[in-house]
Amino acid sequence: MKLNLIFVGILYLTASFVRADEFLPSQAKIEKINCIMQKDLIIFDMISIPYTPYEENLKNIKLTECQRIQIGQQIFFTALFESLQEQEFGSSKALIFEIALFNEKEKKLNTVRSEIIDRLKLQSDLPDYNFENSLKVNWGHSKKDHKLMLRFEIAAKTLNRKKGAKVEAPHSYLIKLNKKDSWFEDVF
Amino acid sequence: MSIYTKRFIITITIFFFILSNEAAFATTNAAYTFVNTRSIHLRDENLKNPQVVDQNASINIDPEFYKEHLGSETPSLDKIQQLLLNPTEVSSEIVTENAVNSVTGRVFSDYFFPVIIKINNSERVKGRMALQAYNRNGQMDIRNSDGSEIDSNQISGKMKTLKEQSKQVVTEAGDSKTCPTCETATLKTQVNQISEAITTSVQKNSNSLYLKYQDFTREFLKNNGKITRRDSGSKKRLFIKSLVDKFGVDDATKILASLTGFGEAPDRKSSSAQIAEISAILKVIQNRARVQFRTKSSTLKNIGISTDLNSTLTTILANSQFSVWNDFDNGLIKILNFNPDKADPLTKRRMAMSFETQSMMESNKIEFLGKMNSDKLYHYHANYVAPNWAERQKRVGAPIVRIKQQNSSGKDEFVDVNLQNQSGARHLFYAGIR
Repeated sequence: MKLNLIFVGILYLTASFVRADEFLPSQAKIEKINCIMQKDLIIFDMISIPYTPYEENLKNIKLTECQRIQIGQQIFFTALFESLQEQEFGSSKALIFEIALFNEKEKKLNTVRSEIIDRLKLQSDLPDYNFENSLKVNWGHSKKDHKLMLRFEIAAKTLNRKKGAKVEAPHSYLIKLNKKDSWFEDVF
Repeated sequence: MSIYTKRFIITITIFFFILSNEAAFATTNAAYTFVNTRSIHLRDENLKNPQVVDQNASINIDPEFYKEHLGSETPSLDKIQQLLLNPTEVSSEIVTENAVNSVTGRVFSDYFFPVIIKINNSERVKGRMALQAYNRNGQMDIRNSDGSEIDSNQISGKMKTLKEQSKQVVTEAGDSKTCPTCETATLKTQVNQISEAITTSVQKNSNSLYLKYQDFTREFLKNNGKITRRDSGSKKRLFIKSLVDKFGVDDATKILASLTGFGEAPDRKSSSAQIAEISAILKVIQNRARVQFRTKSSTLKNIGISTDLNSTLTTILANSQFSVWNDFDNGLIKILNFNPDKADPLTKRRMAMSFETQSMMESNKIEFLGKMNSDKLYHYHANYVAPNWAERQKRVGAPIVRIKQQNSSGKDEFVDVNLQNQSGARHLFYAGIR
């Protein structure tokens, strides 16, 4: 009987470690800010530190929205932008969202996530040169270890040809700041 | 039997006769509507004046075009499939043409099919459309006229065999300059033997990585359902993480290399030509991995795997390199949704051959001749695009791949495939561009 109880206890403890992580909303201070392009660099209002986008081979960057987010002692800057991108196989147009962590000591902006929200290949005709996907970001933290966690929601316009087709629900997934605070990694 | 009974029987017989013929009529004359949800620009006869087609229009290839190139106004599904996958292989008269992208102003090259578009079941508009653009990875999107999907079992049994067609031998042999030792009769036998050996090998090798991969995909699909464009990015990362967790880094890398070959190589009817196309992709991956050509991979970073772990893995998943690993790419979605039990025969064939080719590369059954053997063979592009890095003087003029096999007496035999001689969509290779 005792052995059985111990066994059940071990099973429970093991299960608690493998339980999926949960997202809890945080009190983040989020403010929209101005930002401009200077050559190939993004300059955020409030700080005059240039930010180099993580994605490469970008051309004609068009900034859509920039934000400053403060959670606890950490300050992040985000940029949502469109860009032409030359890739090995041809050109495409991408909608990109990047998050940079502000290192106050070194006065640097380090990319901690770069996400392609949508991409359109340009070597042929397309039905629509507007992106189908949009992104919503929720700031929070992990229930498991309290690390900073984000919930991304990607919503898309319906592509179906038939009238009255169902609109797909947004697709959401979680990312969490890793132990070194160097990158937001997917949570599985 | 009374006259009324006889009349009743005759009436019923006639009724069923009409009914069965109507059903046959509906089947043989079913308007197989090509529905492509991405390519909906209709152009005029001169490929000008692009206009967006209404979302609710049904698009049909002009039956006269079918008759001219396929011999019938209502060709079989396997013929339509081949036509859409690689038109010039079906008919050498179908070639790519140039048109201007209406937004960027850039010239692009594609196959334009004459179409008849029905709007609201009444109005018919004729024009030309680049239907093939979103089907280069062999993704079939032919539907019945009511919009329902066509069961892959409906596709002709002819597509299920892997036997060579003898006319392909001439294409693969090339001319005497490229294959001085080739003789048509001997080569035909060799090609057929190689083809049979490959088929047997794939079918019989029960421990093959491909069989294990099939089990993995069944499980992945069961847990994730159908992947759409919208979730293809995050599901790709889950797919790769799961592959590495299940198979370990080395085998996961082999699988990803095979999948890259599957997604990138043009479709070929001939088995040896298909193997040659896939192996050329793998050769480029090998060369890049050796020199750590590109080391930035958001995909690996996003799933917490170091880019220093395996150079080949990083090469395959490096940012903006192999389009099949780009989020939202049609080729990626096809890979993620691959169902070994339900995929159409062409897709299953190509997937099996991708894994077999990867295995053949490992056991040195494939050689590359001339400049194709260069350690600096780092680039290729499809013949219908013009990337800005492509320097003409660095193009490989005779991209020849040699496939080796042993015959029944243990003697080495081989067939040379000149990728330049393949018809339709093909890759152009470059050596020495960094």
